[in-house]
Amino acid sequence: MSPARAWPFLWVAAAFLAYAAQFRPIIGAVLSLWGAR
Amino acid sequence: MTALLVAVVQAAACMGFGATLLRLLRIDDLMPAERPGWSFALGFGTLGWLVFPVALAGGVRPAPLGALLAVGVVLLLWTRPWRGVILVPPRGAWAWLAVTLMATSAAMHLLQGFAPPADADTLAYHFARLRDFQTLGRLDFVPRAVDGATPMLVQMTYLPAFILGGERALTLWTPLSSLGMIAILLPLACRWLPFAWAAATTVVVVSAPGWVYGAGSGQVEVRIALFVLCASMIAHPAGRGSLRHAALAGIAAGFYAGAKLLGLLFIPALGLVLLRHRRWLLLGFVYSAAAVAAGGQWYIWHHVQSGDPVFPMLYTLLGADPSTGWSAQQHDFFRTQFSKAEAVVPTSPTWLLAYPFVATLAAPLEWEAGRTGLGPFALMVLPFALSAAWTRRARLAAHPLFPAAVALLLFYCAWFLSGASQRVRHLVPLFPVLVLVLTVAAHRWGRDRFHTGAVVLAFALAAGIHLAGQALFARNYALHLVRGESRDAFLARNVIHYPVVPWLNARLGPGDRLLTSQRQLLYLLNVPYYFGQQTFQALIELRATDFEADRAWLQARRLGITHVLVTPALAEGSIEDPLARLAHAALRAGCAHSLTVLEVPEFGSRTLPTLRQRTSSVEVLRLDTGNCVLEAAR
Repeated sequence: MSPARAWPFLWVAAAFLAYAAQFRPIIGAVLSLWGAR
Repeated sequence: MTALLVAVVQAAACMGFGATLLRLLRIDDLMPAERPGWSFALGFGTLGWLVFPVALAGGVRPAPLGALLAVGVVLLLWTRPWRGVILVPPRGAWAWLAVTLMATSAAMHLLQGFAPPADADTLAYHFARLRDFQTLGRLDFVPRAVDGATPMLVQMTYLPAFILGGERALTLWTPLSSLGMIAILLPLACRWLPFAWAAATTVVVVSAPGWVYGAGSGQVEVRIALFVLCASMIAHPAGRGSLRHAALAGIAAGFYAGAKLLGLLFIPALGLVLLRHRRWLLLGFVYSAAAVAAGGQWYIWHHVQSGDPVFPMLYTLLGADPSTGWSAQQHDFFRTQFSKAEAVVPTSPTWLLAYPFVATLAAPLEWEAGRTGLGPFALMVLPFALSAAWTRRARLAAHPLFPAAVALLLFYCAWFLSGASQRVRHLVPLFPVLVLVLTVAAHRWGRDRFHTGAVVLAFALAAGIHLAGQALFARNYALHLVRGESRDAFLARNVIHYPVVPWLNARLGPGDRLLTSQRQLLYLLNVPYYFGQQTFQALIELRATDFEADRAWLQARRLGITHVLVTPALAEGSIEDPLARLAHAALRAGCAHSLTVLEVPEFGSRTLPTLRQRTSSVEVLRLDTGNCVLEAAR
């Protein structure tokens, strides 16, 4: 894939990961809903 | 069954009122598929507008409110806004997928309708005020900043449901009315997008965290979005000189102001868009007059009651009626506390630009951006949308979405720079317009390059994380339904300090009056109460900075207070609760004795109960006047 075609995907993935990263502190609490940690 | 019927009849009445408004203004440029959604949105505002005078005149009773809904239903049968709508099944796998996700999200919203209300703001005033109105049979003014003396057009639509169908009709009405967004956004997006894209756009909007947070509760922002979308879309024909469209834009923008103070910023933001036309003076006049007529009722009433149409924002200019208790000291305290809690970053140009990015990726806790934010979609498609706007810059101003985008930007700048609360959820009303504008631009960008894969990926990731969050949120409500859990058990799991409510309801009577700072309990109390909070009210002065026990005692007695609820219990020595200062002083002066101390659970999240879970205590005191030293000073 050429850089011109690749950068939009990279941007979307990077933005998503940066957004999702802020929810790391609650992963334990989410897993605890099903009795796991 | 009655509750469901009331909610459905009320939805039908809204459509009747809205369709009539469209017909009276001869708005005939909507597609048939758009009419039902627009009718509902505008009728929702019209119902709130009509309930206000009825309630003010003492009509908070089944007969007048039922008659109002009956008129709406008759108007619906007369206007029949569904005429010409042809339902065709979605074509292609993507369209089916998007529609399935949309239906899943809608079903999860509706689950909340079958559980008691549990959101703190909803229990503190959105629904609690309805019970006050029900008890009195009419509206009453509460001189409390922010959540008391606030425009309540949206809550007026809750009144018929509550009075005619009780709590269940009310909890069904809130998610049902929020789903009006699907009816309006989906066909609207089809003007510029293929069906699958329009459906995906709708999914991203109705499953976003800020949307999920507000849709099934009494929060108003989600429902205000209906008005904003109508007003923003009608701005284009209005800006081309149509007085009828200008009037409708003014009505929709006015409904926003009638529902929330920030609507006062939206009215000029949208109005400025109309100034492009050579008939700007006439258009501006019609738009403004319509906005004042639609949104002005609450401000006039608040002015009559308190001497300030936006109590207490104009205190330094207008002062306040003595009956409000508001003073210069209270105003200073209010401003300081409000700024500290709500405006955590400077209102500078740098932060104006940075706010959307920080709010999306790393927001301060005060903005509540994780729980009530707008999700990652806007950030993911922003560069594509900007690129499309740049390549089309020569003809951008002629695009029908251009006025909406400009109004959105103007509102955002005015909101941020005004020093208002920086919580992200205040932007929820504009979120559908933002997503629509960005998606249409990103779609054009992808089409120009013959590959839309990155935008599709953005849709998939945003919808995925939104729906996962919504499923977590809805789990609590699904469990309530599946387990056949009692109302008490649900409230004990979901409302902090709830166990004291049955205790109070069983032991206090109509002759008592409880003083409490626990806002999340107000709707649930069956006994008279006064909400004693140090920042927003001044009838009992509880400010930490200049607390005087004699004065507070006198004021509490004047309001007929007989009991005080404090948390944590006084023995724990905390003065976290402003009422603890008064309670300590009353105990020392022989003016109160403790009735009970109860252990109560506290938690940081209803959705994730193990987050910040701890046990606390509440104490109920009875005031004694017999040997009271403070009483002697009266």
